[in-house]
Amino acid sequence: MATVTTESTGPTEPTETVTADPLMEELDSGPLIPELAAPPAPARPRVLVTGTVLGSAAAVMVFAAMLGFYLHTRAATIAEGDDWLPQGVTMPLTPANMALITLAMSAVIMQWAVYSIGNDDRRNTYIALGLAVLMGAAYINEIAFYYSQMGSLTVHDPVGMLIFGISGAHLVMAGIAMLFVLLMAFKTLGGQYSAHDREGIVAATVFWDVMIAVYAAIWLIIFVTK
Amino acid sequence: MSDVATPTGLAGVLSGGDHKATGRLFIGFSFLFLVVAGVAGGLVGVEKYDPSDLDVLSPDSLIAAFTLHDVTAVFLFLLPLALGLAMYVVPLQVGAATIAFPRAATAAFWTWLLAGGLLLASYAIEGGPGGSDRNGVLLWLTAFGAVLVALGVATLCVVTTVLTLRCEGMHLERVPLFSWSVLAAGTIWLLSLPVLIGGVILLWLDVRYGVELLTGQAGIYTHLVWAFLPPQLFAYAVPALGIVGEVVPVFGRTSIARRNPLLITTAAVAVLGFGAWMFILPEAPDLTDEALFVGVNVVILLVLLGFTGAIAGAMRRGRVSLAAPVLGGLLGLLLILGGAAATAFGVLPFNDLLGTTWFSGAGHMVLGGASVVLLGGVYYWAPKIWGRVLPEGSGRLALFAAAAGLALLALPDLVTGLQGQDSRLPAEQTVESGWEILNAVSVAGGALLLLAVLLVLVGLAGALAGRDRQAPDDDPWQGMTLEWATSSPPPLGNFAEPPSVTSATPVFDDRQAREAEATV
Repeated sequence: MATVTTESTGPTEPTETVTADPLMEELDSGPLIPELAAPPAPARPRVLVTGTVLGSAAAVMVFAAMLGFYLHTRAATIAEGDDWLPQGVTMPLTPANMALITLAMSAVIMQWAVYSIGNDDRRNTYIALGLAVLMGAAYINEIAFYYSQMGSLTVHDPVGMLIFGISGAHLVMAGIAMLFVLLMAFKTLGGQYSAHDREGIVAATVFWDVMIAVYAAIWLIIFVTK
Repeated sequence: MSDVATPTGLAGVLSGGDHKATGRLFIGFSFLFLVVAGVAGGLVGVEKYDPSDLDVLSPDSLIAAFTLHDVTAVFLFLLPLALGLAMYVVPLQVGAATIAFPRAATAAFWTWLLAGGLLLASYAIEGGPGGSDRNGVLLWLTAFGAVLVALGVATLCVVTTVLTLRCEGMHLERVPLFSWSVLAAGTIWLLSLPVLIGGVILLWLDVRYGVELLTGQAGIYTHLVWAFLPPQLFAYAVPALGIVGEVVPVFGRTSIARRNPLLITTAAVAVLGFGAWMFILPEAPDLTDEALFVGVNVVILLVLLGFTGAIAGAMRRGRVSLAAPVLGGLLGLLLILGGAAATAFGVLPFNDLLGTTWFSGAGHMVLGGASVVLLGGVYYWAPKIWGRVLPEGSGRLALFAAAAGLALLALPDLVTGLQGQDSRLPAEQTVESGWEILNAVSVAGGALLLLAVLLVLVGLAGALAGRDRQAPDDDPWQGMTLEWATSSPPPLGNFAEPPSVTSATPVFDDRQAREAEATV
């Protein structure tokens, strides 16, 4: 422990000897909480965003194949003069519309997260990411409810197999998007992302938005035009 | 240089993170699967000798051997070998310390290996596309889907590396040709393999729930066959073009004066090779009625001719020594070109060759040619990958024998295809006189190819086991690109200092400058 001698400001005060440690020395010499050092600049172009874009493109192609086959089969069935939907099958549009509206709102919320982290507003970032995941769960719930409204449609029927197969695969994609958002939220919580580097949040938003775009295609091709 | 110790032994293999270990594993196990593909092809060949009667296999077993050969050759050998080389070499070529998403790359390898094993096992329980056991068929579809996902993830890692981890000064037009070809091919694989995955998902549901919308178990292969037809075949062959573009200048001691034609033609073959649009056409009466199918395959031939012309120009500028990598590259390129010419002729509507052995001959030339080039690539990068120079004499012999075997395998198929021999070998078909001899020559070609592959493997095993094959220095070929600017094999982190480049051939330029200085 170092010993230093300090003199009081008053000319008549006696000289005082105190014992101090280096930490106290350091605190005396500057502000109590030192300013944070600037984080390193993120790598450009961004690895995670680029990888997410490529992965999202691959995911889009999976659905493009399945929807292409759906359209092809439906056109062939109708061309033969048969009905596409089997007898007793109902496909009300309201649950599908609600699911689309839910996902559309979640897209705005994800942008809120991107904006918030860009301003180092962590509280709003966490709220936005949490709400987005909640809306993803709501979407899955809505589609599950939709399945219960489809009357006698089963997966053993060709139409049912295609509808449940494609929309079910999208539920898996929504689940992956939710996990991605949660992972990035935890990384943000750990301090990895901030206004200087918001790559993880942007990447999660890209995948989330692509997931919504895929649902929009499913909504139009399967649920609206049936 | 990274001060992290390189993990060794089992930890090095399993813990992952180092792209070099993952690349080596992909290369090694792809060779193992090549032997399986060769044996399955041999069984089909034995039946092909006399297509009027089945001698060894039952009709179901013949379909199983046929599909096993196709799937193993493309998705368990050719693509993984290309990806293994890319995973090892591309980060070095672009001056990166690592691959993008290294743990995802390692996970992709183990998934691919496990799924590949399950895929083979499914045949043992009467699975496979024409299998009679429903659970076996479901296992085959699950394993095949997992193989495709794993290859997609591995591709994504390599493509992202080229796009984002290039060193200072390495603009996209300065990327070495192999890395460029992997970028172009990988992008197309990332867009076409998911279409196959989408098909596998629907087929799985179809089989699992007995729907029979996609014509049930018997019709599975008709929905996947586009992945084994042109133009998709050419997308698999694109990395081979990159290797040819790498080795010819190195062994000709000359840089390529104009790289743009090579870059453009390589990318064009990849783009034209996107064949996923054929997924929804299995019920089309004849693909040769599709103008897009005909046009694309004809244009690919023209583009490949352009690529070959650019390579020939580079050869004229230097004096190319016919070392094993060059021999493999040039013979393989000739085979690819021959396959492209056969395809362009075969797709013309009036020829009526679809479904005949003409297309299996053309396919063997394209994919076999690409395989020969990739084997040449293994010889070229062996000092970098294992620190060993593979035996040159046996290498030349093996690569020549492989190319000759492929020619013997494919050319008789073209002749019998012209005469109408069905590629699927139904026992009922009428056999024309003379087919037996041609088919026997084709089988002999396949046997020669298998022997050549075994020679390569023996040479590789001998070099890895023997101490006398140690590479003389870090750059035994006097290479041109960044992978030769570091030690062989490179340390963890690849480079002592982050490299910086001012041209497409920094090591060549540096050597030229040093030689000029020494002369002065």
